Amino acid sequence: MRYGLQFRDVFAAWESLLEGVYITLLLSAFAMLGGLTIGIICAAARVYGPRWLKGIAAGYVEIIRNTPLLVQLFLIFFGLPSFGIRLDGLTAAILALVINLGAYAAEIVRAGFEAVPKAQIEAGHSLGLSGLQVFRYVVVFPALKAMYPALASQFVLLMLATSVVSQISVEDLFHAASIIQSRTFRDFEVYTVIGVLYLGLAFAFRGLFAGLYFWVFARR
Amino acid sequence: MIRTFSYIDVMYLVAAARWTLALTATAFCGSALLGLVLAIARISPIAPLRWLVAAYIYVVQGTPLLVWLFVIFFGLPLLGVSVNPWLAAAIAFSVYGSAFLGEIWRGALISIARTQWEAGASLGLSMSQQLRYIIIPQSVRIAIPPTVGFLVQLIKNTSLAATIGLVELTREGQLTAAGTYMPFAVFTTVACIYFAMCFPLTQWSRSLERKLDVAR
Repeated sequence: MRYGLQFRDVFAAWESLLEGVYITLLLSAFAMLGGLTIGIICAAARVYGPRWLKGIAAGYVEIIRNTPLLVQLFLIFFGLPSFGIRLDGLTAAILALVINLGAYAAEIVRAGFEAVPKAQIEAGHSLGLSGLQVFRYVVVFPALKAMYPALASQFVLLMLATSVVSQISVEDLFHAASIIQSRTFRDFEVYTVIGVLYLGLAFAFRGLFAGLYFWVFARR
Repeated sequence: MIRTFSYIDVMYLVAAARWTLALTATAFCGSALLGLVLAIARISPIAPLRWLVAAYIYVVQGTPLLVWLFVIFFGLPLLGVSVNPWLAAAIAFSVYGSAFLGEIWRGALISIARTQWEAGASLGLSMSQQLRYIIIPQSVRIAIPPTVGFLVQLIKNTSLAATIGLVELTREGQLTAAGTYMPFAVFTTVACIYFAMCFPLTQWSRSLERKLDVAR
């Protein structure tokens, strides 16, 4: 069988692709903000919290990290309506991504804070700094620097993982591809094109994070 | 007729988990073979080979697994191979997994001190003998914990094979949810089965990491 590749029909639908890119970026941005917030709260709970809170945070992290994102998404989108909580696709997708990333971010943030040597904290105390001052002047900066690379690569992985939300009909980039596929039947071409688009997004994310690292940490 | 979600459905889901495990095993073999080649190519003295492999890893790690599944699923027929979700999934997971496993193993290989290579060379061992008898045996202990961690990622990632119609645990969950109309109970069960497969591995990886670290 001979098959000629034709990309014309795929590129003709560039508006759908662009809209898909927009939704993918939107999902990623919300998930990063929300996930990082949850991650910081959980990490703080695991390091400084009382015993019961430590247990809850650890349980959350383990449950999320040991089950697939797709199943978490289905549980939220298809499962919650059983309790009268009916979310539209986009909200369910953001919720699932935030909960998912939160667990991974919690581990990274916790490792970052634990990377600051105890001796430095003690040195801060012995200089007469208060707990808050030690945190502000001694702990935060090296901890951020330690966690940054892992966090950045986790964010890129998350952006790529958002493609899963197409399975609950959220109109992200991957969903745009399946729409174009069903109209043009150019399946191989369309998935190759969005593969390249995702690669471009990942390239942009990596560049942005590397630039930010240079700007914040490397200049000092 | 809508049936209820009963004990027998739970058993069906548990039975479907063996396809998840079978796919994980297949994908791990493919990823390991390809990953080993990539890891060694990444530390080879031939620069263009290193660049080529680096580019491969950059591209694969910069695209979603879902895209690889679909590109291979729809691309195989263009090469004259009949569409088979198993084959497509096995290839996609191997391509995707090899990029991650290759990087993990490269990290283990380059963590061995340069002097170990030199000691091997001074004993008259060839490049491949140094790798085979000196470097790889030492790097295995470093590589094992993250490799077990990778296995957990792989088990979770196989859920994406459901999107190309391969009936593994997640797909069986979707079918059961559609039949019983009790999605919450069904997907909670599915999540529990995944947890039962992944959590012991996660713990094992952690204890290995501690043990091998202390032993050093």
